[in-house]
Amino acid sequence: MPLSAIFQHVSQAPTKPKTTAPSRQFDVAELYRGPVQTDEASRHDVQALDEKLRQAYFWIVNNAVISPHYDIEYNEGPAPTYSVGDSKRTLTLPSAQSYSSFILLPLLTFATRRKCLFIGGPGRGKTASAILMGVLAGSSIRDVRRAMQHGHPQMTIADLLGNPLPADLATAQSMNDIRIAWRSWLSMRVKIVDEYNRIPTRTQSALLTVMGDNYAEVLNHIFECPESAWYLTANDDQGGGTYQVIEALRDRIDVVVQALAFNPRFLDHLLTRIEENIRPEEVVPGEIIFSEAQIDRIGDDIRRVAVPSELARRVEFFASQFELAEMAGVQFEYMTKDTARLSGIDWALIAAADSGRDRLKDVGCQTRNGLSVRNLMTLLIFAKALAYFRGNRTVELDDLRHVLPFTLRDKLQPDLDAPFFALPENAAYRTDRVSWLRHLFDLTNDEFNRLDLDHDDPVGKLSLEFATGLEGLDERATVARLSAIERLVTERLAGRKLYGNLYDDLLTIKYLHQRYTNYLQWLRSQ
Amino acid sequence: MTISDPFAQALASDRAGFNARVAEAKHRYPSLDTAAFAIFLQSCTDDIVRAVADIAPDRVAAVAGEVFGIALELVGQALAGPGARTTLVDQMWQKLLPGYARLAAQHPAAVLGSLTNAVINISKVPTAKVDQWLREMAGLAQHADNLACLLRLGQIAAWRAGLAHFRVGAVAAADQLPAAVALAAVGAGPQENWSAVRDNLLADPWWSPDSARGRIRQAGIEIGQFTGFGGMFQVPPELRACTEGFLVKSADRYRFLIADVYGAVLHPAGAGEFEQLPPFPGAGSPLLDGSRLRLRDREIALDLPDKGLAATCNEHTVAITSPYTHAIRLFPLR
Repeated sequence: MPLSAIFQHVSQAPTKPKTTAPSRQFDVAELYRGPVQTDEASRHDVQALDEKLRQAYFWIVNNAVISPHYDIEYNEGPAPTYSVGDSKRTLTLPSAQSYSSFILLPLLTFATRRKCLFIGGPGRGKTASAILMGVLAGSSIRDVRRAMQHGHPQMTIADLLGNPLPADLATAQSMNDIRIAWRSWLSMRVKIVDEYNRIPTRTQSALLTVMGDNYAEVLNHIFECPESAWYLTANDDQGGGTYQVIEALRDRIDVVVQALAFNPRFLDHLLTRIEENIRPEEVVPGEIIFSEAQIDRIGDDIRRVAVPSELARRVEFFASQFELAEMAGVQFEYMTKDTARLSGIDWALIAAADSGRDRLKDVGCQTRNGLSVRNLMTLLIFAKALAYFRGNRTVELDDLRHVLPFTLRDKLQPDLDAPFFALPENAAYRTDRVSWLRHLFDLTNDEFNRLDLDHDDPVGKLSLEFATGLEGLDERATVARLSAIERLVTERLAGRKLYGNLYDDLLTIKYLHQRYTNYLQWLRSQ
Repeated sequence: MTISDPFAQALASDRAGFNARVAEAKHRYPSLDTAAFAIFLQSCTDDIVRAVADIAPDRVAAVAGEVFGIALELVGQALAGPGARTTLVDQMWQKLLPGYARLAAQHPAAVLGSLTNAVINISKVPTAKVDQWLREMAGLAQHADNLACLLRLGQIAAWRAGLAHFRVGAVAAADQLPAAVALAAVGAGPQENWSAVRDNLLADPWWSPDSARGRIRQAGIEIGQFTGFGGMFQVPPELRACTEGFLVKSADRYRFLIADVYGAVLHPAGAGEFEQLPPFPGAGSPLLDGSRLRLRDREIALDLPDKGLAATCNEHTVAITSPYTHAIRLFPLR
């Protein structure tokens, strides 16, 4: 047996043992399940796919990418914390299973077939991780390497998508007669684009079509790509590549993860690889390779993970903080940061005009933009994926808190001139985008709790009432509801400054008022 | 001590392969003691290989390969060999497995693996009688003419060795055996009727076709004890009855207690289960008279002060607890 078997070992122990209510049904067959594998035992071993996903994670962490960073921290009960250095940063020793974002987020991308961008300096395992994901999807290491697209300044659309056959070009009487030799990577289930910020802008547009709409087009010929997970790499995410990445392309990327520095304490692991002449991506064990059907099933299972309404309400509250720019519009609906952006006005002018609110307290003042529908969908799907990965069927607040910085890292742009960043204790948030976003979520959660919105949410109640339907509602009751809505507007506006969440509440109230008004008109016309 | 010729030949025929397996196991289990592994191979596994060589020489290589792999797993995890936490696995390989050589020759992985796992699982239950399981399994070898039969016999013997939670499953396993084998497995005489024996076993957890019933009726079963003396309870336990057994609270730990004529076992339970358990119908009937336990057909003198003495009953069992002991005493109600 070759020594590569050391790297191919996948632990049979459950990766996330849970304390579940013990069953009172005792299976006598348990007698024969134990440390020794038997034919009988393996026949009964129907592995759950979330367990397989965790096994893949732990195999990668333990054998492939030496990544001893546990930056996604979970705690069950108190965890020891220590104040470190002059900056008094906190080191936490998590009391529950915690994860490395550099491995976990790409794996969740794989499970959900989304798009992940690896960023970080050269030689930190970005490309190696992407290749591993390709191998997990069942492709041979040779195919994955060959299918990987390497961005370079001369890359053309033909390089990326394919060529018309030269013979057809000479003889064809119409475009339909020209056959296209499509690039093989287009049919891969895991697509890798290395150094995507070195691709020329025009070719980036072609890439955008494939990434966004899942098809490629050359000379009016269409190639429909299969559903796939995407991995892109960039040494520098701030425009340091050869070409500026077009905004629409950046917006298609769902999560951004940073390859953290190598800890030299783990040098012996590198030494073993050299001495054993082993490349982890070449010895991925068969037990953690996923078939296409399994990935489909994982996707279905992830979509079925529930987001409790209380949690969804917190996401709403968080998202509502950022879009309002009171001075950007006259009509209520246009008082948004997007209105300001579209006008091309200097952002500093808008910020300077915003003098009514407490700009330090209002988290909305920390950003230059709001969240898009796509951002919110990505946040929710990754929160579900993380819950699924952890063996849960319901999303928890911590799941949201942990995926949020990675899904919004490139999406929510900080306003570094905001008073928040001027405070000395917040200076590090200027550079540490992940921590800033997590802090932002914590701040909004604190505010949510302070407002006691779990228990006192009159707009939520009105929405719930409306959601029960208008069937059978008579004129008197409709008028009563309209009056209640109008009263609520008066109450909400009494002596208050306008903050993002109130702005969205008022828009919701207006929507409900409009629906009841239309219904009342219809009732009266009968 | 050396290994027998058949085993030696089988190992020699694939020396490089076996060496590679040892090297791989050493990476997986850095504390693997190769000297201990060699001793285990010589002293415990040689008997089964030799027994197979006697009845099915063509199967020696397959059995030896399986034996070698299992032995590496067991010694690597300190479950067998000189450095093991218990000698029970060694004993099982020495005393029990040679008796099942014919089945081991046919299904080496299943027979060797299943019986090894079984002895490990039984030995994890502090109240289980592993010696009894080994003895009974050795005695039942003559009845095991196929793999399924062997596995069922093992399950029945495990229940009778004290794994009370397997009672229903074990009776169901016995029901799938020929009646004569089932009767032998549950300790009943060959003249008895299996259907009647099965019905009695299912109807009353304290019924048994052998002498166990009479012994238990008066002496009862004791379980628990103080953690300081290697027991399970930090403070004297508090009990609540349910149909299948009792939920037990001791300090901040909760357990589920299930008992029958062959023994009692404690399983982990949750605080919620204990707190939310509804009162058992009919519970609380006066059974204690001072330090005497009065049952329908007999009276038992308890060697405990009457102060704080409590009796908790379900349909079949009464459990006695006292602030003066960390143990729970269990008696059949009838």
